[in-house]
Amino acid sequence: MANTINLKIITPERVVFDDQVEQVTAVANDGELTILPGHEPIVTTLAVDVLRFKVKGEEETAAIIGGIMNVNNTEVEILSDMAELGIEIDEARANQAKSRVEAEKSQKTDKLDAYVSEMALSRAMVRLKAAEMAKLRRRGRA
Amino acid sequence: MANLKAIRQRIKSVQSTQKITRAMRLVAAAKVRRAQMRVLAARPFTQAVVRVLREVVAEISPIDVQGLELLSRRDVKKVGLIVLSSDRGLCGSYNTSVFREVVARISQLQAEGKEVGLILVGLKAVSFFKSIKVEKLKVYTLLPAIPTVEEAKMIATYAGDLYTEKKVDAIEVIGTDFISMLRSEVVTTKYLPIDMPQAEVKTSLQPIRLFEPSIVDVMERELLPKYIQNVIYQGLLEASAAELAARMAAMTNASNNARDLIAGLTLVYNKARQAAITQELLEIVGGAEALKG
Repeated sequence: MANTINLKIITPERVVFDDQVEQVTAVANDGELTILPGHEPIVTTLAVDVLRFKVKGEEETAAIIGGIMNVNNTEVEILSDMAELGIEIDEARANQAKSRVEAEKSQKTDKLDAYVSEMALSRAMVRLKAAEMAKLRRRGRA
Repeated sequence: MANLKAIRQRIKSVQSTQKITRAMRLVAAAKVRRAQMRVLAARPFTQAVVRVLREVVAEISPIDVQGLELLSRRDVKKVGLIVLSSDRGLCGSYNTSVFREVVARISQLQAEGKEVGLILVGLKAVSFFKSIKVEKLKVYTLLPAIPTVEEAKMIATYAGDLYTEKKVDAIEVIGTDFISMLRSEVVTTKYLPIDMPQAEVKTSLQPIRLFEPSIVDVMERELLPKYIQNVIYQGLLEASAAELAARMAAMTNASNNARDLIAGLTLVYNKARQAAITQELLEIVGGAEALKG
């Protein structure tokens, strides 16, 4: 059995990632799961969280804002409305978004508005987390 | 002399038309680049969503997804056609080729004894179908020039509701696919119910696909909303890129025609001018000769 599997991360705006990887760890709505080459076919919904995958022994990260993961014999396909690789994330912007949303959230009482800012906040948090993880790894390598 | 003046005026008017067509060509050319990039960037996602959904639908048994109206199939009595056209004209045969296809499809469906309802996008479609006796379910006009997910969501939600409320039993999208700057194609896409891939004979034994947390959850929360929205979104993107490409081609033609016309008219003008000068010279020389006696 091949020891790599093709990982594709696709959003409506672009193809974020398309390459061979050794393993993929994703956070689904009901828990984390790791896909190794030869995993049985599975379709699952993803939570707003960090995706981790290994390329040539190095762990990479990506922020995934929900979506679905489709695994078949040769490929892991992630279809998400928004996704960014850890190394691409603009930390300053994510930080700004976070503080802005936090400020907004404290003022909002309406349920719908609160939900919207809650979502925005979780997006910002995931971005920061993915960026942080990417940074830690780079430091470890140096 | 009056003739000379008329020709001069004619040249001037053609020149000002040429200025307009040239400006429109430049605007369309600038826009079409971005539109093309957007279409190409969005395609992999839509294709993946459509492919995954079809694979899944082909695999699962209908009993598993009984609660999902979007997946139910029924006898087709009425068909909804979503027509994607532009708000503005001056884009060659872009709109007319879409309408030709729609009219053909309507008469085909009516011949099969099915009712037809139209969902029209774009002012051009509205004015074209005004005089045609077919039910119009809904009209969307003056959408932003760059289609966004918002409009797609609006149209998709409406279309989805039509289907789940059983007002129509099938929906098709007729629009233009952008192929290249010089080529686009009118396509009819089966939208709802979801078109099943041709039953392919599987030679090897395939493992059964798992669904986390459940088929209904995956379908209802992610796959179906993504499908109904992105097919429309892609359709709008393709249509806007094709429209701009068509306008660019039409305006290039118009500018070239104007250029040829001006060249021809200038030739005629110069000939007439020279003839007038020669005439005058002859008269002067003739007069001088006569005086000499």
